[in-house]
Amino acid sequence: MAPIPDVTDDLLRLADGDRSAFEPVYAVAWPRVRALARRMTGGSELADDIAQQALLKVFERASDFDATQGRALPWILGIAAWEVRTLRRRHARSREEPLTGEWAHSAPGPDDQLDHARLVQAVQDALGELSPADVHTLLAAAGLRDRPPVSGGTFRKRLQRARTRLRAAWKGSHG
Amino acid sequence: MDDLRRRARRAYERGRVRAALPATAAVLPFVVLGPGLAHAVPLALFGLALALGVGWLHWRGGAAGRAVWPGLWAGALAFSGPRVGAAVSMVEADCGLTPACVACCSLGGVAAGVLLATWRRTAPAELVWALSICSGVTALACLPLGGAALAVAVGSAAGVSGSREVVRLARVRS
Repeated sequence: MAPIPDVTDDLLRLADGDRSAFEPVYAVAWPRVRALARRMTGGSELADDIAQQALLKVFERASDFDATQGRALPWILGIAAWEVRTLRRRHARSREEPLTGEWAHSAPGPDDQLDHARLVQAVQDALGELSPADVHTLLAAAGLRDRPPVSGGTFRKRLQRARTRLRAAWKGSHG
Repeated sequence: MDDLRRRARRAYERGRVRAALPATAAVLPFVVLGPGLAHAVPLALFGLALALGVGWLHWRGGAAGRAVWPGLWAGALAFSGPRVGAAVSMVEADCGLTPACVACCSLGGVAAGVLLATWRRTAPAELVWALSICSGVTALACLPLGGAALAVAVGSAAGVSGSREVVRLARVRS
């Protein structure tokens, strides 16, 4: 197994504004950031996208690197790991957002209409098990009701609680 | 993956611009604390040019980039000389080389010179850049005070050479 090249001096030069150090840092950083992202995301199809975002963050912060921060590769992977964790969480949250785009606008056929009616009924059943405050919060988050006059943080907490209860209600009736 | 390389390079440049912004902003207090409304337009123009220049040097990096903050700190010391001098002489803008004003300017210059001489540099060019930035900041205070600028310059030179001599003697003794 080939030893990992130390790019500490190159990253120090890059932090100092020496653009010629970009290539060696890039050549060492990218494969390792990508491998880290793949490992941390369990090899999901989003791994490469997340790895690219993490790499951009590393280079955006390259000017902050100095000799007191030790060797370059742990510093690079530290930033990348933090970014991968953040992006993974963001992707997980975005999966919970309401459906938009094609789903929302395509012209439905008879089967789609039936499925849609069943889905609406199932959602209404699940919503029926929640308190009116939770239902109001969920509808406000979807833009169907006025948002209650509370701070952003409070609203987010209420929404999180309402979603957890909705998930539990859904699981209770639909597995 | 060339596209990724280009984006990474852009991200790097973005980071450098972000890192240069505080240095650019650090020039603004000197403009605000300068000689005031009597010389507002030249002060604003020179301050803007200096702020952009300092930001550009920081973004570019190298010896010039490393010299930005020491130059600004030394400039702050030198800047305080003419401003204190003007206050002591109780004049609004043009001090007209009163003894008190010249003394304050010289002291400010010596303090700046001492700071620059004791700063640990890695390249001789850094001192030149730092002195240039220091002079630029000082000029903001001395825009209407030609004599004060001279006093600061003489003071800075004395500070640098005096401090070097002290360091040299200390090394010889140890």
